[in-house]
Amino acid sequence: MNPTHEMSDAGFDLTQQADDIRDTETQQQRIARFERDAMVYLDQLYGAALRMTRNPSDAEDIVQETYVKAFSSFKQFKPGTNLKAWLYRILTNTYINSYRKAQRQPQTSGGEEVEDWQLARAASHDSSGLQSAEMAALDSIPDQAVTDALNSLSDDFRQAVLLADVDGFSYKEIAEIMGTPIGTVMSRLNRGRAQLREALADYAREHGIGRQRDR
Amino acid sequence: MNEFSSDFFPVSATDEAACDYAAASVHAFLHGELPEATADEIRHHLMICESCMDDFGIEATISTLVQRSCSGTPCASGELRARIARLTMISEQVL
Repeated sequence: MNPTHEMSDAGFDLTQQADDIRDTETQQQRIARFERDAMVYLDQLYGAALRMTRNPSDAEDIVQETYVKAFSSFKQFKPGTNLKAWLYRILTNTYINSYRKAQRQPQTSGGEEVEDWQLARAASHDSSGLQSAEMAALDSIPDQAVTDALNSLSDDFRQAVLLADVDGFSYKEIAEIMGTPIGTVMSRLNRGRAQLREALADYAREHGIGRQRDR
Repeated sequence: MNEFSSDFFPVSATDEAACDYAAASVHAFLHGELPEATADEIRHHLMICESCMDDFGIEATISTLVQRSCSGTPCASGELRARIARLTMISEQVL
């Protein structure tokens, strides 16, 4: 299990360290600490931004805005807690507030009334079209088809899948980054992955991937 | 995590409900988010249920595909890096 992270309101921490570096450091030192600790995530944040916006220039804009916001509120960040998740949260909020809103992309989550277990069951037994015989051939699905399948997901589902599978965040971290309860993270992951699997199965079917070649 | 408690797993691993439970927790299992006792129950079920084992294999492969498709993400440009570094330097004067 991960340690407790204080994402936004630091100070409510019963196990608070006796000496918080923020109490004694100079402004210069804080700036140096920001440059040292936060800049190492630039490439990762840019990659995540690029996956969100699918456009290099928009990705650069939201990453820059993220760093500006992070820098100006760095005093609120509690040293020793999860800086990467904190930066991802600012990035996610920046994307939602400035970019996604502007796009007015319809946020269709779809199928909210279907229970997770029904989805999982449908995916696991027969109906989704990916049989074990085809499993070995999954590897031959080209990256572009996987990217297209990911892009066909609704934003929240895609984010949850990418944060878990690509960025390797724990569910607790994803909950903090997306600002939702862990149950919502799990639901988005389950639904996102079910839709992804469906899309990949469609691709495999259309392209004859994994079909027996004995005829 | 209280969404998954170990005593929630169906008693009989051969029960059809065991397949439902395994399927519903496949991602939490693969992401290492289940309590060890629950993960052990799932492993036990997978040993005796070929269809769930296949299913978990497919999901694990899809995770690999997702990672592979994102592995070529370009790095931030030197220009962006410089721009951000400049911004923190400018703020330095202002703060």
